[in-house]
Amino acid sequence: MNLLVSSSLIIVVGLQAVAVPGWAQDIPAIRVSAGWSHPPAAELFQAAEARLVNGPFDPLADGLLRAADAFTRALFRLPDAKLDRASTYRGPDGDCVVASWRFGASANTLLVDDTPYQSIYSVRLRGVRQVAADDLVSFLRESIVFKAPPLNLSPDELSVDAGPVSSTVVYFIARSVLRSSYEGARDVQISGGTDGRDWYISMTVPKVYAKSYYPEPLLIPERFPTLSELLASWSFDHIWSEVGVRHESVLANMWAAERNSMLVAELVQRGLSEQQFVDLLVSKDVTNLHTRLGEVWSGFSDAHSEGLYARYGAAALHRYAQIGPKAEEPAEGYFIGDCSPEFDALAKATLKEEVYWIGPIRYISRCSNAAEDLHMLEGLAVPDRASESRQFAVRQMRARLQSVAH
Amino acid sequence: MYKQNTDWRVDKYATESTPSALLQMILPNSACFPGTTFRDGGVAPTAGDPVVYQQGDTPTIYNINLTSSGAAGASAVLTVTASQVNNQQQLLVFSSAEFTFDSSGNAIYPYQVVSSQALPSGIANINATLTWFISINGAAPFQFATSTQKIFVTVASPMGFAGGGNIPGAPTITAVRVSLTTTDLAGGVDSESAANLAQGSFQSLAIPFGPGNYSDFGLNAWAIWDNLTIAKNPKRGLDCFSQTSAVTYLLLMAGVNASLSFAYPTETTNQAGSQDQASIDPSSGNRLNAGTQSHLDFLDAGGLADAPQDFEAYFFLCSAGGNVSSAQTVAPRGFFQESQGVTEACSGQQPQLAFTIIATILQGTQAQPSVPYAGRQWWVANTNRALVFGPVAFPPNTLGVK
Repeated sequence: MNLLVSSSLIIVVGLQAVAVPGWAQDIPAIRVSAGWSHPPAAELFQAAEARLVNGPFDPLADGLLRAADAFTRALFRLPDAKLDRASTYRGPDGDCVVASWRFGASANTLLVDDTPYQSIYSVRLRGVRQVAADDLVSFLRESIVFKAPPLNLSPDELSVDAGPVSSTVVYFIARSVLRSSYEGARDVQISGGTDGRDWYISMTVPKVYAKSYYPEPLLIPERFPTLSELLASWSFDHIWSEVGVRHESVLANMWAAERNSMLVAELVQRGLSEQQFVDLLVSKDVTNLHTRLGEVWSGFSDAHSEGLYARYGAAALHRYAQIGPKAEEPAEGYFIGDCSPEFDALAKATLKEEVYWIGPIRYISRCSNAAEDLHMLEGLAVPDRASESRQFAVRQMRARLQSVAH
Repeated sequence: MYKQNTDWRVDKYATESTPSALLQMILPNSACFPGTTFRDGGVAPTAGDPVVYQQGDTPTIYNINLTSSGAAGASAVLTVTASQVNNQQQLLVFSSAEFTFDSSGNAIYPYQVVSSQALPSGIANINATLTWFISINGAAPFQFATSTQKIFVTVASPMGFAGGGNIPGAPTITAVRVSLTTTDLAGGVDSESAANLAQGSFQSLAIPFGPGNYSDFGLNAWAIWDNLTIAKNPKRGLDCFSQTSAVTYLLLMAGVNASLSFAYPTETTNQAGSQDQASIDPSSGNRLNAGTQSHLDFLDAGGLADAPQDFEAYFFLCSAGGNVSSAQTVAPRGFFQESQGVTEACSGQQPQLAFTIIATILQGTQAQPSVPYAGRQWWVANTNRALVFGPVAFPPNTLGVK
């Protein structure tokens, strides 16, 4: 469907002037749809504004505020924007910063609700009551940096829908929808509309795009003080109690491995017994055995204790075997580490136990350049479920051994 | 076929020929052995750049340049054989080349020397040893040199990923990419066997399923192999989209005609349309129900406990006739589905087939009712994945998925 007829108010927001020939080449044509309700961009703005006005600012968040300022200036073309004020709060997602910038001759406002997982922007354009489609796309392109870091959105990745069917755009939504199948993980979303007095635009940017701007680690709810700072004051038992804690927030749960791995790394550095290790894998607030295995492995890896993880492997696999089929996936996935003598020993010992096959076979085929290991795999009797893995491993090892000889 | 560094083996998988023009073309075509310049006395040339052939092709040597210190003016007959390293069985025998050394002992054979045998069927990454024999003035031939040659064998001409839709292209045929795919898919003789090998190869990398995404590596799935340590980190892993893209790239580079597609949760009957256009809240793209923002989700075999499924990625294999022959997913379950009798052209994306397959999968999951909500579509709350509205029938309605 074609763009709406442009005859109404032109947006003047004091943005950096950019020529906009052929916008349609950068973003697909706006689709106009009937029947949508008014978007809550105004409400989002007002909620953030209320937090800003009423909230205190924790000085520990100074670094975050500077990062938010740098990230915002990379996302928006707002050279005259002046950081105005900031506040902090603790919500379901964790530690958050709210900040505002003033820009343009009309004292327009840009707000950000900076959470550990998203930067949720709200823009108020004062006195802009209606927007023509041509002006909308020009505005989006002139104000937001799509095709360069940090977003790097390709032209086809953004779809724009607007409504209602009339001579002017009253509201719109622009989304990238195929960056990830995980809701909220990577998709950028922009929406806007008028409340009859001003125009409001909302943009949600996942924090995975902010890596170059914010202090590491990202995607962890504790930010002021940081989890690292908290860990220094927490006891072993306190850290232990935090592993696997469920959060109210979907995003916090989606990225929970980031936090859990950090907790496990600290436990490892303080000294984790084999029994505690097994409990972490199968008992301590575990909702998914395989996910927990990944978190524990990451923690050991971050603590540079991959060898210890491998040496604890026999006990872990024994416990998985007691659990039965439900633990088969993590047991076969235990051999995730880089090639090492400890994993070599574990893989071969596991094959002798004749309980788990696929994990150790894949490990050996990935890591061994020894002809005797190839011969061992060639002669290995495996159950049907491991037959394909064994065949593939043999073929892969043969190819690699020939390549090594070359 | 292109390379970036003198030693192509140190090239990055993700490097494209554009826009930075980092790469140089290895050969003008794929039908030649490069660098076949020898001197007598048994000095073999340095192993050079690889060559790529399709299965069943007959390799050719060209531009043979010989120098002899003691055979000025002599006539000579050159023969070359090739065997695979660590395998004494002869792989190729090339036709004899007759020529005459000039008064300085130099000889250039400007014609092609063609193998009398074709390469065997199947994808292969061959390290060949070439053995060079020469007969001077009718005397008994003697071996004067050996050389090595990397030969890639694909099922058809290697292809890059052209891009399209929402996915940027990675179109360049590079030596390091072809080497990877011909190693990992070795033995595959057709699309189906190559696809099985590609699945097995990718699984052997032990990359967990997770919210990681190849956009973290510059929107090029080849970069996954350049960053395996990061991709394998279970904190992130890789989502279905990234894993399926990676396998598709492997298949294309092996000459397998494959394409990438998606299915997403929907309650409209027009699968080719946008996702639930008539049902979503324009402020967020989510359905608004009783004040709770939500989105439509596939609930997989684990029900609500499964990861959010905004869409499912597939790769399709294409028949010689240009139709889709089958479709597979790589993650999270790696299931395989035949085309369910749907005939569709194998160009661009194939939403109808993707939707047909996902509908079948949901039906199959529903048939095992031990997990509540498994195999259903529901609107789930964005904030906590609580059920908001459903179950929602999954089109096409004629499939009876509900």
